[in-house]
Amino acid sequence: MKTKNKKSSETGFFATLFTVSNSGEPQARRDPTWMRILLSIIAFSFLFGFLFVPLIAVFSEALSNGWRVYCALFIQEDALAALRLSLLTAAIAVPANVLFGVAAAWAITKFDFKGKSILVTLIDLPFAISPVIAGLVFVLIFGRHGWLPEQELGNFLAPLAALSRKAADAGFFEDIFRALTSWLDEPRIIFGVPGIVLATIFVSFPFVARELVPLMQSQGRDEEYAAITLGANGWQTFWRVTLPNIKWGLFYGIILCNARAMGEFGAVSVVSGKIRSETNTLPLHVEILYNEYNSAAAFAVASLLAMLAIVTLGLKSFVEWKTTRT
Amino acid sequence: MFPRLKKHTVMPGFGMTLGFTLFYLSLIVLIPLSAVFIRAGGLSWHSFVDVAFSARELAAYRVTFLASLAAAMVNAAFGLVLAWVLVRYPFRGRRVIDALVDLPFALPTAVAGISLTAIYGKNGWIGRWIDPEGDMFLRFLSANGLLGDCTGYGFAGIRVAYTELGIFVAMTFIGLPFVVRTLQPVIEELEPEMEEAAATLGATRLQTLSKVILPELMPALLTGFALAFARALGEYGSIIFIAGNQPGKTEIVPLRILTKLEESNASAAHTPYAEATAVAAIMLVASFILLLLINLLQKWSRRHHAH
Amino acid sequence: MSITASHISKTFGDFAALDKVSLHVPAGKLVALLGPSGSGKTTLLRIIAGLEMADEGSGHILFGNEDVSLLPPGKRGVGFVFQHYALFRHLSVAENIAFGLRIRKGPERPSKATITSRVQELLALVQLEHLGKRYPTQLSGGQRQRVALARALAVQPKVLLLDEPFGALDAKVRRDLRRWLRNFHDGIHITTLFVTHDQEEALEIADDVVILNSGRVEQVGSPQEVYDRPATPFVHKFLGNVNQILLPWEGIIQGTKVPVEENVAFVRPHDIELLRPETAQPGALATVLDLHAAGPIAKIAAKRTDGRGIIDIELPRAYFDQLNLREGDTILLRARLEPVCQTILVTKPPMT
Repeated sequence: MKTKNKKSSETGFFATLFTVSNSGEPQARRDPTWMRILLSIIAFSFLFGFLFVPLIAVFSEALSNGWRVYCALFIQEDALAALRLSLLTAAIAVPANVLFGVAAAWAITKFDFKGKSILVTLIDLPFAISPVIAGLVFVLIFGRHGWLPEQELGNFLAPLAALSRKAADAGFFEDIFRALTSWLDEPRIIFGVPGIVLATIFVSFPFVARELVPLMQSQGRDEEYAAITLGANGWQTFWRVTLPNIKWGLFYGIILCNARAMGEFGAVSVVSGKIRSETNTLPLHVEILYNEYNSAAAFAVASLLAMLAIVTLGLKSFVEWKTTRT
Repeated sequence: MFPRLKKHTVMPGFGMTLGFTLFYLSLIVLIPLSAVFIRAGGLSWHSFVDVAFSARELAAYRVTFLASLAAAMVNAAFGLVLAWVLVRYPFRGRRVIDALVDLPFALPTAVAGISLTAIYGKNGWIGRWIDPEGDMFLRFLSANGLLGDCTGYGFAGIRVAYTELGIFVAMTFIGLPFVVRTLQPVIEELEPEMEEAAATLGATRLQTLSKVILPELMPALLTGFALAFARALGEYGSIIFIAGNQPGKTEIVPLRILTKLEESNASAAHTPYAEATAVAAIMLVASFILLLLINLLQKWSRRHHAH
Repeated sequence: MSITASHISKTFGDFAALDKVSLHVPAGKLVALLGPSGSGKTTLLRIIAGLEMADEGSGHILFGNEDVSLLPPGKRGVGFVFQHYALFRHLSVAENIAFGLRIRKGPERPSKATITSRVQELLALVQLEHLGKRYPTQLSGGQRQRVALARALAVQPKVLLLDEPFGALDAKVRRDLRRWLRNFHDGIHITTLFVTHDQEEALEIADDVVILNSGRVEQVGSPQEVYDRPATPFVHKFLGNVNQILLPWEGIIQGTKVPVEENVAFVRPHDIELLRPETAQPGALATVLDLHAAGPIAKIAAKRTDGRGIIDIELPRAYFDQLNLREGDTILLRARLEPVCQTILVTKPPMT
């Protein structure tokens, strides 16, 4: 990301706008002063109006009834339940997509095989598709009139339910197996947590893979080959050589994947029944509150998500700074 | 149909990683997506056309397409300026501004949606200045306000929230990072010699920018435009709050899919989900065409810069 | 321990990178695998290391008497040094060197103290005692190369394989480092095979040179042998400058011993004798086109009077000064009669 002309980036904004010479850039590559001013004004107005104002508005609206009201909103059971579900969803979706991303990047960058470019395109597919369709596809499969409706799924899973019940009766991790048994007896995917998790996995699917593939491509295969000639096996090669080399890229992918997983609205909206404190994630909770004309509460929950976005952006720039600084 | 390695290799893990990749990809993406086409294929041609191209659907396609196009064009123009300023005009705090560009990626769409609605509503920070019923607008800019008193003329006012313009604003917001992020690396890697050569040949700075730099940036600009357009077409969360969702007027396609799905969930229709999948199939085909186009653009872009 | 490769073939699609190549590296020797790019030399080295597999059923790799063809690279006991070093960038120099020992399991893994002392030994061996804590990015190219060597040696390999070991270095460092490698090898006597495309490098430091072209071995021999008695026109052209003289040419006198292929004779510039025409000895007339006399060797380009080409001549400076030549002078040329050049009548068809 770094280029020569950026070394002078620590000069003041207005200083660079108005000094004609004596800047890092050679004369032939400098825009005239009037142009620098004009383009800067356009760029910053656009940025200010379209990005900064909406971000500030979230907090301003959230605090419109004062701090006390704002804080009180967070101890509401519904909001906490939504937060718990959002965290749970991310806790399942992110590791699953990390596992996939690492495996896919390894297969794509360490080997040559036919159809590789098709595979790369297919991995990007969820980005090109409307989130509403991402939710729809799971309804088509598990919905009431789907390919594998929940009653049939229940019959299919009956043996497993019996097994799980036996485990629970035997007192083996009783709580977990009781819960599992009751889900297996009447499996609910659409309008339930599994549907939300599936839709979330779908929309946050490509993040890790598409971060790792170009990175690992640029790093080549020699270090892995070197480890192999020194006697390392596959796992040792991955854990001791590849992983340390890709850790920042992986972290970057995880941040983006997590932001999408926690913030997804459209896809989750389709598969969730929006049942309060049961199938309600934070973004869905925002919608419910907003549609109930409880604007301050909606913005309070939204401000939580906005803070998550700010943290995401901060971590993202930190990683970029960390990796370009060598 | 497991892909074969081109040659034997001592690198470990091919079968395991590729096997898992294909399994997971099929399970999460390919099989579910195929459901859309299989379900839509269950309709007869006539009923498919009836469902997918009813008057209300056509209106939705039209408003979605036009608003996406307008938003992508605005993003292309402003994104170009923004990327240029961010790369070429160094200033203090550049890192913060640069990070802010990604806000639409990081901010959940529902949050963006309610925030934009609040800003552009008639009591919002911007809405009150431009909405025909906004208090500041009435007081200062309308024919009855200060401006009218002084000059005898006044503006008509622009309503953004709950109109097509609102859809456009939300689409511009979510598409903003695409053009900037596609252009930035290309601007950074422009060969300095090119501009210097143009200058030594007597070109003015404006000529250099328009005849040398802009053509060089064209493939990336078009790629960014296509990405922003594709994103806007499918966007749901940030739009539904500000769009107003009036049937035949400000309903976007994703909302139509959702509405039809909810209808068929409630009723026991003969072909359940058929209406929703028909519209979804149309959208998916549009997405695939755009994806193909973007891939071609990127190939062109790479060849353009390989020299 | 010696390395023997027998009848190794390797094809990529339709392209035969190696065509039944056989090769023997005697124990304790330093052998260069020399060839132009695309000749298959790196492929052969990687097959010997086990990083790539030869075509099925195409031959065997032996270390000593042991057939290692089916062993994975980690079990073959090879030390491999990559062209671009392939140092683990997240590990310090010392950790890089220790890597091969640390990843061993169970009783095979040496104790921590042993590893530390082994690393110190190796650092001393490659003369980088004080750089153990540095990271690869903080080292110069030559230093990185030596770390890569130390890392390869840490696992006490039976043979050492180097892929273009000096390829990524600049000219001065390159010369220093190859002399260093020769001395280093004289100190530890590990069977070493290194790949290079640089003739000078191969001729200067190798005990034996194997010349590879288009996936076949052209010649094997000591540097002196391959330079003085090239087995094929390819070797002749590849090693050092050579005049390709269209025949007939009166400069080749009955009984002169020069290699000839079809109607082209190969004579090195320093094997052309230059005389004043007034000496009236047998030879061919030519006109001086160009003179370069900077340094100990004077270089002359002369145009054959029969108009069939240009001949390059190299003379010792003192003799050149004596001749007092000018551009446009007519001179008498002939291939030297001295026994430096053996007669090699090449029967092989010309390379296409």
